[in-house]
Parts: sequence; structure tokens; C-alpha cells
Amino acid sequence: MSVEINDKSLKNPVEVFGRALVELAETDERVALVSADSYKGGGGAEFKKRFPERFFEFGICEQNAASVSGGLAWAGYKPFWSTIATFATMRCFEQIRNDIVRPRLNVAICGRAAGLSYSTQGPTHLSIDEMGILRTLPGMVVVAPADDLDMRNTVFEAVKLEGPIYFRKQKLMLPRVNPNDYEFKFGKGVELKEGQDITVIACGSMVSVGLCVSDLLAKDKISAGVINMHTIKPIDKDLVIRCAKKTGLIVSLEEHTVFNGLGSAVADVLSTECPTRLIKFGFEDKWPVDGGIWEEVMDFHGLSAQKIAGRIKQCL
Amino acid sequence: MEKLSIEEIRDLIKKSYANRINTIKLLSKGDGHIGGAFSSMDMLTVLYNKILKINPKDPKWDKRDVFLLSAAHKAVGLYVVLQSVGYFEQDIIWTYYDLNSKIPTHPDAELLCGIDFSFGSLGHGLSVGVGIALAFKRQKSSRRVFVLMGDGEACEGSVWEAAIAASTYKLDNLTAIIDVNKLACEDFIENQVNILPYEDKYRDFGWAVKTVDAHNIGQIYSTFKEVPFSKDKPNCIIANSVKAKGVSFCENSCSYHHWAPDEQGVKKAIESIKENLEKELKNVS
Repeated sequence: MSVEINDKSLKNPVEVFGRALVELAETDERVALVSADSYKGGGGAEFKKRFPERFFEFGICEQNAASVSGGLAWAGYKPFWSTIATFATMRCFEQIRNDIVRPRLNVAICGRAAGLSYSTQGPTHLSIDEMGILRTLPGMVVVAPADDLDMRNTVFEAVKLEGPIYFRKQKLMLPRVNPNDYEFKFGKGVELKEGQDITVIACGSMVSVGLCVSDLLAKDKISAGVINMHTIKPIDKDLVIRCAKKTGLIVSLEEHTVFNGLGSAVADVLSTECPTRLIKFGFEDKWPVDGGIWEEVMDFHGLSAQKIAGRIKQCL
Repeated sequence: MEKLSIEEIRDLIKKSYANRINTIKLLSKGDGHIGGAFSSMDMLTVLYNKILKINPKDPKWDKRDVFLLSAAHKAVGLYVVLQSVGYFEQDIIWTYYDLNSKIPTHPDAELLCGIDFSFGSLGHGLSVGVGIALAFKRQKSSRRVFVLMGDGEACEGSVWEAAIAASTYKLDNLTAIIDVNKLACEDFIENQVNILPYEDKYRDFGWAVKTVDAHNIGQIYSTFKEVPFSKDKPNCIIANSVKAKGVSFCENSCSYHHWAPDEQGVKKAIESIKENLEKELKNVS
């Protein structure tokens, strides 16, 4: 299958994050990096070397790291707190809620190895629900960057927010999906491909999968548009409504449970603004099976381009 | 050692007992945590009158010390103290329990000037304090951070995560005050868990520790004035207190962790506070 992308080399989101953070810190002395024994794996080694006075290691204690990030932000810093996605969001959920989100502090929580990135590491490391958990918090921005450009933009835009943000860092190498000259704005989806029959709305790693799905469907004369909905909260309502009115059937793709993630955010818009059929692709209501490489495990769960395209065809 | 004069001590005792009476008046509109508020009341009174570098007329003054009420259920007492030192133009006491009140049982920094950070769930304040104190250090600021915690709160693991962090970053601009009234909400802490005493625990984590009688105004003042106790070490003040201190029939009892006094209760409590004030004043002279 062919995907029309501008740069076919695969990008490591963690490296892109690390480079962007250093570049940002060069011009903004408020930028800080908070680590819970997690900076090297999260792409922060260069940051630590360049800006040791703004690098804060706390050892393996996520609750403390989250609250300290709130305290640093309260006193004027712009902390990026980075660790493995499940650890960054769940053990310390209440610290995030009370000490970062409720006081609307500008902390960027960076969840590394999100989704099934750690597909061989066992159940505790699979982060398939963290976006949904954080989406419940008022004022939270939740982002799943689809490629290196999204990641870089997310880092640079995060510090311009008045409040908190969570974003994913996949371990998986991601192909570039966005046009070089695209406009990135939180809460604004990117229309990568126009379609007449259905619209695929995807986030994170599933955007490139969505483009493949569209190519596969094209062989059967099904025209599927593809949206990179990098921000699942706030969701781009206008774009969802426009797509629903244009193509009818909407398909959501996410490396996340189908509960309270991208699909649910899209469903919230459709059900109230523009009732339209929606097929949500993601993990169903059971713990995911792991133990294989990412592609195998995703395929097992019906989330490969072939299986998604097949199911869409059955539904049409 | 800096000491208060007898007159200054008497004045602060009077203030502290007046704050207790006002807290009882506030509670008469609903319910609240009299036990913890009163075990900390003498310390709150000394802090806000003599220790903290603050400007009640300019609560957001950018050079102020930061006080974090981690044991936030004590807020009914803090509101009264803030009012007594001039934070508010209007009497806020009688707004307790009103719709859209600015003084919920646990404080909300978004609602009330003078509250720097909202707490309520225990075990958060010390970590937030570490973040703020660390920022002040890096910014070469002389601002200080004081965090008031309860001793029941010490069971939260996050407290000890913060204790490690404060010591690692040599935060001598951070002071943790542990109000050791020996009771949690439902029982004496020693009946629940094996955690007492606290001094060696903090010392082992690399803190400079001093112990005070939480109801001895002169001792509280002199100890707070000694901060920082030791260069490059965070400060810990273990304050041995009596829960609900000042209302004799409420003291040292789980039944008065939280109280909704009726009219008779308000009257009896205020009488008891007045009697205890006289005793305290006599002890000083």
C-alpha cells in the first residue's frame, strides 16, 4: 500500500521531543524538565546537559513529581514532566487533578511509550486508557501527536497555554503524515485527505494507519477522507460536524480504549450536534492481549489497516 | 535566641483565643474541623502576626512568604486568622455555609485572596511546597515556604517522597510544621499505625528538626525565628499539640475532630475558651 507523505523516513517521537525541548529552552528560560528516573528514556539527556539548573530529578516517585511540577509552575516555571504514560497519569491522578489542573497551571505532562508502545512489557505498561482518564478533567488539553511535526509543534505550543496539557509520546517510529506547511493549533484537526463516502478521524499512531485504510478502501472505489485529530480535548467540533455533513459515516481510530477517548469525543459532538453513524475503532472493554511486537498485537486487536478496512466494508 | 516580651506574649495569647471564639462563631453556621484548627491556632496566630513576610493589603505581593495549609481541614481557623490580620475588608465569618461562599470547609485559592494554593486531600502540600521552594532557590529569591501538616497526614506516602526531595535539593527555605495532636479523624494514630515519633524520621531524611510545645507562644516564636536551622537543610518543626486546644470539653477527643455546634454548644465553647484564656494569661505572668 502506498501512503503519500512528504518525508518517508521514520521519526522517533522521543528524539523529536528531546530536540524540540532543548530548542525551546534556548529561548525560554522558564522551561524546565522534571524526571522521575525517566529523563533519558524520555529524550531529556541533552536538556539535562545543556540546562542542569532547570533539570529536576526526583527519583521514582510520581506523586511527588506531579505536585512539585505544580509548585514549580505556580512559581513561574514551565515544567515538562515526562515519564512512562501509565506512571505519569495514574498513580498521581489526584496530584494532577488538584495540584496542576484545578489551579490551571502550565505543566506539560508527557506520557512516554503510550498506547501499546510497550506491547512486550506486560499489562502494567500498556497505556490504553490514560487519555480518557485525563479527558474528564475540566480545562485539560489532551493531545496525541501523529508525527514529528505534531510533536515539535506540541512542545512549542504547550508553553503558550494558560493551563495544563497532557500529550503522548509513542515509542513507535512514526512516518510523517502532515504536510510541511500545515497549520498546527490545539483543538484544530488537520484534513489530510478529502473523501466523499466516509471520514476517518484518527489520532496519534493511528493517523498513518488511517491513511493506509483510505488507500485500501480506494481500491474498492470507496472514497475515505482522513483527519489528523491530534487534539482529543478540546475536540474540533466544527470539523467533525463538517465531515459528518459531507460524508455521513464517520470512523474513529485510536490506540486507546473506545471509552472516553477520541471516539467518545467525536460521539459527543455527533450525538448532540449532527446525529451521524460512527464506528469506533480502539480497544474494547477487556484488557488487551500483549506479548508480541506492536504490529502483531494491533492486528490481533483488529487495529491493522487491513482489518479496519475490512470491517468498514462490511458495515457499508 | 530572639524572644518575645511578656506583653507581646500576652497580646498574642489574647489574639489566639479571640481567633478561637471567632472560629466557633463561624462553625455555628455549619460544621467544621475544630480539633485540628485549634491545635494549630497558636502557631497560626504567631505565624501571621510575627513570622511570615506578608502584606495583607496586597495578598499577591511578589516578595511574600508562602504559607501552604496542607492539612487544609484546619482552614476554618486560618480564615479567622487571615481576617484578624486584615486580609479582608468585610467580615467573612458569617458567610460560611452560604451559597457561593468564599470560605468552603477546605480552602479554595481561586475564591479567596490570602490562600495561595488549594488543598484538602492530605499529602499534597509538602510536594507543592518543594516545587515552590525549589523555584525560589533557582530564582535566587529570599522568599520562604511554610507548610503546615497534620500528623495523621504523615501516613500518606507522598509526604515522604517530598521529604526526600526537599533534602536532596537542600531546601533550607522550606519549613514543614507537623502539628502532632496525635489524633486522626477516627482514632488515636497510635491505635491505627506504628508511625510515631517523627523527629528521627525527618532527621534521617536529612532535615534539621526542632520540637516545640504548640501552645507555648514564646517557644513557637523563638523557634520560627531560628529558621533556617541549618544551612542547606530543610526545616522541620514537630509541634506537640492538644487537639481542640482551648475548649476543655472538646480537647483530645475524636468526637471533636469535626463539630457542628448547636446554640448551647457555641455558648459553652465560648465560655470555656474565655476561662482557658484567663488560665493561659495567668501562666504567663
